[in-house]
Amino acid sequence: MSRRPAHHRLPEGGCIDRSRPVRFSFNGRQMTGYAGDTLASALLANGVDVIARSFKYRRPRGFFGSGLEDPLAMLAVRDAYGYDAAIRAAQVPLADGMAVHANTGWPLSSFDVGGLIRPFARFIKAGFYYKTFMWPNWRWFEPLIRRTTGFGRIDAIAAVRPAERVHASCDVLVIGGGTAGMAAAHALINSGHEVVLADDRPRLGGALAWTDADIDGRTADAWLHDRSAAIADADNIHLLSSTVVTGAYEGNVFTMLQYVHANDGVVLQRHWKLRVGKVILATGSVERPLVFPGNDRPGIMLASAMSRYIREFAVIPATRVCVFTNNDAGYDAAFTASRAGIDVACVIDTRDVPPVRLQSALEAEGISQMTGSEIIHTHGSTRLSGITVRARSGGAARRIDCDGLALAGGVSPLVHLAAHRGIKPVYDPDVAAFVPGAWPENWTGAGDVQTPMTPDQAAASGVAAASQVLGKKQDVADAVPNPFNIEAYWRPPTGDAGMMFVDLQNDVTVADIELAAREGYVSVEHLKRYTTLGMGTDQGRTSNINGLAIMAGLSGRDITEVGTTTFRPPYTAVPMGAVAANRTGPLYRAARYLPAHDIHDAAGAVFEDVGWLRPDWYRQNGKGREAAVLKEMAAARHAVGLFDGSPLGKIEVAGPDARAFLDLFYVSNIMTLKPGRIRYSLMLHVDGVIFDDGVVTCIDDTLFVVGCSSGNADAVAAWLERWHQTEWPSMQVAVAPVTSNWASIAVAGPRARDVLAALNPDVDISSTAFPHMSFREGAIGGMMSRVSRVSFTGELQYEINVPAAQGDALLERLMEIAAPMGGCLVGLEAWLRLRLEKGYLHVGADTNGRTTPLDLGMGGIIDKKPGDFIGRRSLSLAYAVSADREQLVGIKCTAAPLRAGGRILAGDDTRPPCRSEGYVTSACFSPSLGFHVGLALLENGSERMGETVRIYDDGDIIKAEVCRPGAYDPDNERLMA
Amino acid sequence: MIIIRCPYCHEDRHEEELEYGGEADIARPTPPAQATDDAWTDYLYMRTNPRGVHFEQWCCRAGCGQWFKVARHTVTHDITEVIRYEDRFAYQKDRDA
Amino acid sequence: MNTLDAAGMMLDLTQIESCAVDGYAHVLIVSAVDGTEAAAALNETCTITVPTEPGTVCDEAPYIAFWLSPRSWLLRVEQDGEAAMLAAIRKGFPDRRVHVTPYSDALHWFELSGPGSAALLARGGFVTLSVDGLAVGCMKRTLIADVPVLIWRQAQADWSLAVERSRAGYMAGWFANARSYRLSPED
Repeated sequence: MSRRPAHHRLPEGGCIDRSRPVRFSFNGRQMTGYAGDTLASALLANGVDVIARSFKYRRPRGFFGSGLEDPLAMLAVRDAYGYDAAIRAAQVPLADGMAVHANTGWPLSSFDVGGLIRPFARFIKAGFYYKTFMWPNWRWFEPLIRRTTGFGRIDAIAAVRPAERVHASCDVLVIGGGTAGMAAAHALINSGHEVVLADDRPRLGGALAWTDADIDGRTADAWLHDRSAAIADADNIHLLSSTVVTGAYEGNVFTMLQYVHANDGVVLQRHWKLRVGKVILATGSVERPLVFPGNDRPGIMLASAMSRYIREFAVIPATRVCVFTNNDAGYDAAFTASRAGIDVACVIDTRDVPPVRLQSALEAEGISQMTGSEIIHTHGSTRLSGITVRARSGGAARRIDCDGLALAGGVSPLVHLAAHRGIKPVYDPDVAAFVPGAWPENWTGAGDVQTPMTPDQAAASGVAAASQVLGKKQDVADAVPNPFNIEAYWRPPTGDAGMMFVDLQNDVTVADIELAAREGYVSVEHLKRYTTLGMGTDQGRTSNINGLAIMAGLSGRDITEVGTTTFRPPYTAVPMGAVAANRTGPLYRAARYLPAHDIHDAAGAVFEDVGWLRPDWYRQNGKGREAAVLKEMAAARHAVGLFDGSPLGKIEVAGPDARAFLDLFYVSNIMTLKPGRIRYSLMLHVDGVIFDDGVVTCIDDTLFVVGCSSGNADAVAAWLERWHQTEWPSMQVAVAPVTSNWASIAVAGPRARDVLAALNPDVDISSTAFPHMSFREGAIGGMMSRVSRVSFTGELQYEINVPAAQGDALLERLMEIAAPMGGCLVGLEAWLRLRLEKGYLHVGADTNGRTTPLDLGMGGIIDKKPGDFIGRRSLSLAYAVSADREQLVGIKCTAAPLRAGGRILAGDDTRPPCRSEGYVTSACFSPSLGFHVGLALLENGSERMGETVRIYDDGDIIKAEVCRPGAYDPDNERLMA
Repeated sequence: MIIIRCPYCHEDRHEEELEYGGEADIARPTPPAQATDDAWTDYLYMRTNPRGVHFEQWCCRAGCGQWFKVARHTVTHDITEVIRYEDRFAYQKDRDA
Repeated sequence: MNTLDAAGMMLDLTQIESCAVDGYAHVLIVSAVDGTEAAAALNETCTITVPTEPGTVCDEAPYIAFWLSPRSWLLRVEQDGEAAMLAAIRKGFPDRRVHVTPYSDALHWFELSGPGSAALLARGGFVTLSVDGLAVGCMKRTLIADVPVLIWRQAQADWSLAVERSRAGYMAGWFANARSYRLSPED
């Protein structure tokens, strides 16, 4: 970092509070600024002029802008509340105790080892990386290149800055608190509309803080003071300062990012979603630089930035300055500097005949002027020391010593938000700017965003915009065309194009654009991607228009023809933490808890988030998962296991047509299902692919309960409702999803009936009275219960449903009863292994997005069903009946462990690469059988029983035998017990 | 953000509350068993996919759960017509007349 | 509700009570036929009035009826009256053209009150997209923090929220966290 030795702060003036010094550090060095400073102005006031190294060539760079247009000063900032890895210094209000570090440049941005690359800069042209590091593979080079470039370092121990989300609605949103926005908001006071005025700065006024103006016949200061006070007092105007509108979306919904500041930093980030009736866009404009050789040296900045640093922050950005301009606005910087006591060497104007009044004013200040001239070279090493100037018509070059240079190349309206909504900006050659050609519905513009205008005009246009919102007609004096008398000047015709920087953040020069033009990348979107023009964190605010104007010149087209690139949200960088807000850690997503969660927790459950937090296994005396799972399986096989199945879907389907309605969904015949009985079946999508499996219970002829898998509980209810509403609205059927009203505990194992009996049920539970696949309602353990005898495990199994509030009590009773029998709680993992031993499928794991019931061997069941059902017609299409389909089979092997995911190799192939004929969908070791069992989807599998296949499993080849699923208790004796 | 006023609960609903249901008025051949393979696969897969006004189905998922129909421009997302499920779009009524 | 004013206010002025709505039971009524027809039939057969206007609540002793959809309602009845109501509707509609089922344990209720309550809700979503907000006495279903909720605005700063029972734990944690952003008064 280089430092100028002299004073860098004016003795008086500016919007800073000299009574409140603010101490901060930069690269470990203690510095002092004032309340009201931005980080950029404070650094300038402390003499810091090299703040960054450029992205590609490692050239020293300084402060170029004074707001979010600044392409260069991206710093790592830690305040009392958090850390930002790369934040624009000009947008950060200075805070007590802030620790700031430069991001590029090692060890210091003023002496950068990487700067050694500069001599080779000639060879690093557009597309350099892609062209050079293609062989053998870009991926090999990418990490290395990424490390030497880029902005920001991730701070692994960064504090999480508090953030919250807010949703709100208002009638009118005024975007921008400059002259036009303030005038509009002021005109809407007491209008009966709820108005939000969003401004990205801490203080209202925009450019009035650094421009001389008379508005409505008053001084800018007086106008600003009066309007600010009125807006603050108005009940219907909600001022959101330090709030950037980051995106505009359909339905007039906007996203906004608000920073809530305390003295020591950003105490809160608030991410808004705002729904708006009408919009007044008053975002103003941003100044463009001029392009010439050596235009990137520290000390060179936008004219508006120089004026702002001097007037708003009382900073002395240089000791002797020049101004380079193609319009009248640049002269403001000269007068501002001169009146602040800064030596102004010369105003260089590209125009041959600037207005005479400006010439006289310069003479009055004793400032020299060169008209019809341009800069052909700049001098200096880490900071500007002089410029060389020459008449555009030719002639002798003249060197002028200066350490500051202000650039005024005209302004670009900030049309981004309108463009988010699809509005294409159009080029207006009179003012050399892209202006909004139209507005989205219910939008209007005010001020500079429409076309460059004076503050007085901007105020009038703000009032006019407010009138339009209120539906009042108001005559507005036509804006003075081209009030700053701009004459477009895009680049010098000769000179070193490789030193003319267009995009200062990404080091894109005129030479790169020339190369792109030569290679045919003339479309503006190609130009952007090929050269990276405008792809930096500043999104090319100061470079895009210059770049595409230069491309237009090179390809012999109008600027209009070239057009702009697409604008997309966000308008400026939005921290992910602000978007996430409090949705982190345990609040990351809406977890669902079992009714008896606390009982499981106390029993040592290790929960897994599968949409619900479900016990995966239960800790036992320090044993690991595998031992616990085996113990739980053994309990279910030899005594009794208790499994919480509360998430299983329960949907009541009732009404005169309930039976006929459900028959349209299931592959099995529901018409023959008797009251008190249960049937297992599948639901299909319209294309015949399996959607869900489950059991349907007939309580009586007009009431059924659809039991579906846990993950599909909501989807199946929505599916039934959708078909009812859209396809069969005349069927008299009511769909009532009641899953969460019930706690559901499955009791499985040879002692299951003993457990149930111990609850003193008031129904006969003998196997003959209450057989497999039947349903009873009654009082069990004193609770009103619905009990289903169904089995997922292959054992005798009951599912006891009680109202959810009694889930705790039921589970505790069951545990008391089961414990002396050797029973215990069973987690999800053991439960799934038990069903795998039995060979039952798990939809989603053992089926995929192609699997039909025919692939499960259910063709016979379907053939027997007389009626139609969703998906049935698709099962006779050619793809569903082709011979090479993957069908579900069992597999077993005794040697190596089987694992889900292993690919089955085709035919005689022994090693990949080769064709695969299917894959293992589920697998585990079966303690009951003594070998490894699994399910697999295998081409033509049903015809391949007994065949030995080779399975590729993460490098190993495993031999396994194809078999029918369900080696455990193949005769269902245990199930029917 | 797409905002549609539900024609059943009369609330403005934003896209997070809504569920998209694809093109509207795709007739299901009945009885399916008598549909030709071509007619059935058209029903399953063929859609107009226009650049312009698209007639489609939406559900007030987080609200009243009702399915309804919407005319939406696929480029601008302008919603020009929202009707109850049993109603017909203006262009259909014109065609009927 | 003006969430704009409330955005920066002190949310610890909000009381959040997570409650079981003691002494009351809930039943879900779903109609297999047209909702208006069903409402008329319910009135005639069982003298039960359910609202047919979207977003409205019939608050007539001895029960409160919430409009859930054109064909479904949630009824809050006194605990002692639950069995009688279930029986009455079942008896009145033996073919279940109007279906009724117990629903007390399906939902969990939160009561929010205090000047910050609107702002607290606005942290989780648009309670309503309209500027006027949800009218006092009305209810609606929407999402708060991605959780489906039923919101009933009982008074200007007094809200009842029902969420599915399984999501109550998350919702309570979310409320507690959202309320913890207590800002300085000058904000």
